[in-house]
Amino acid sequence: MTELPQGNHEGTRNDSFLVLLKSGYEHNRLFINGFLSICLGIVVWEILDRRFNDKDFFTGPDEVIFAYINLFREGSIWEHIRYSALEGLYGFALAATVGIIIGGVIAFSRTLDEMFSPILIGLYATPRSVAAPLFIIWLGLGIASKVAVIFLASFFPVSINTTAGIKNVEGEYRMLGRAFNISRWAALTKIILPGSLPFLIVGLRLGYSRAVVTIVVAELFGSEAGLGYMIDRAAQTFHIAEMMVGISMLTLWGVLGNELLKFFERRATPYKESLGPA
Amino acid sequence: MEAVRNFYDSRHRLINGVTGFLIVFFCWEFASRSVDNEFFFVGPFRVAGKLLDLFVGGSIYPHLKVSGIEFFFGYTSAMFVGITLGIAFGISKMIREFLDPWLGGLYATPTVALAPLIIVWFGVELTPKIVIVLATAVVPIVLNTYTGVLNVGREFQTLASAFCIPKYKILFKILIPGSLPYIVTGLRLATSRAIVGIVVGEYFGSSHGIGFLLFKGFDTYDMPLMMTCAAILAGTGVVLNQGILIFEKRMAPWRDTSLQE
Repeated sequence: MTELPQGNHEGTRNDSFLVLLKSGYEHNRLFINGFLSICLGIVVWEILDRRFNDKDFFTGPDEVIFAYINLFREGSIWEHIRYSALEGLYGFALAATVGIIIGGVIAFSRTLDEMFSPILIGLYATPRSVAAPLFIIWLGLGIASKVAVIFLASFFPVSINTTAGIKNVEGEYRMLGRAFNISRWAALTKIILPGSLPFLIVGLRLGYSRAVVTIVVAELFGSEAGLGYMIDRAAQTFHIAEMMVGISMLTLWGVLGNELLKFFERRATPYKESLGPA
Repeated sequence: MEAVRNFYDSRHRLINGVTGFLIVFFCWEFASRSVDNEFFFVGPFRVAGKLLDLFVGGSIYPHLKVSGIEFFFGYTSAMFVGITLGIAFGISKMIREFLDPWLGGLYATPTVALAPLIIVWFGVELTPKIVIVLATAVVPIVLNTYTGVLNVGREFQTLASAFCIPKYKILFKILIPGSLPYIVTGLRLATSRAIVGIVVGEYFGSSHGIGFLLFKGFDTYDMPLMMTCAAILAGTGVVLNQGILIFEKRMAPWRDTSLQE
């Protein structure tokens, strides 16, 4: 008789703990599942690596981590990081500035829009990084040719989205502004800029992911330094782990930059759902 | 005067488009004339002449064939893998939650960087190029299919389950047709990536292909050849993109997909 309530008591405590655990899981399930999946993936990778164990053709996560530690301790990677980051930043900053200016100018003139938008949209669809070898001849093996290729890759999404964003601002708001006789400057900063901001940031985000991916293509066909150069050289000397370090580093840049821009997007336009792909 | 005005007003889009094209064309030609160095920069007429040479002389056909085969097999396998994976992601919450971080990472990864490794794994024949095209082109297809399946209206699925329609029928009659416009968008976005994949694949050891020809021009300072190859690749990209875009507009005229990537 006395054992029953005790058992019950034990049971409820267990239950409440389980419930707590469960609600905690439900609350963070995306995060927990993602984390578990990454851990699981790394373990599977390591097992595969141990199973095949062919150092020239395959590599495991342990070796990649050692390669990370080695490269950073030895310090040779910094030069490549600096080079790639510089060309990425220059290319993207240039593309963002020029893209916003040209996209903005085109949006305000119907004639210009009809003249050049088809060309811009057509070029947006082309595999522009095939022009990388051409730029090496025009601008040399140095950083200028890479900046040009990255610029070309991320310019189009920025400019096209800027034009679309400005054209997308509802005419009613503009008319309202005109009815209240506000200045052109006020119309620009108070109506057009906020209205086109979501598109603009999506354009920047697309441009940014392209810039990061293009870093590799730009450096592949001939370079002095950089992560793409490092990846290529490591592959040719069968340092697969070192290659993975380069690739994962660029992935990290892509993910981090994208998250940062998404954060800005949410801050700038909390009322809008996110446009475009993740 | 009135007539000219009316004509312009009724066709302004076409007229402006052609004018814009001509402006770019003549700027290109003018730039090449002022540079006046065949090893450095050539104009559109020279590129067109070279193109005619290559086609009439017939030397380009083996290259076109090899690149075409690479594109065809790589792209179709990307299509199958991408659509299957995308549907799996869309249907199963489990798969979605567990594999989402990998997909996000893959989206941000420059998959072309894997090209040297793929060459090491698969040799220098056609197979590695096909795998490279697959690796570069598959990501947008997966992402768009996945978005498409998620965007198919819940109510259709509820209706189907209310009528006890078997699962496979829900898949083939509701989920796949419903997500088709998105799948087509993914296929369109994959074309330009596939072409980059071909070029990068052919860069690492090949004996034929448009990319090979491009790098042959690079090695021999043959600027007209290089620019012609780049123009062929870019032109193929534009044609494929616009072609698929027509399908897309037909299937879902209400969606503006031109801004997506």
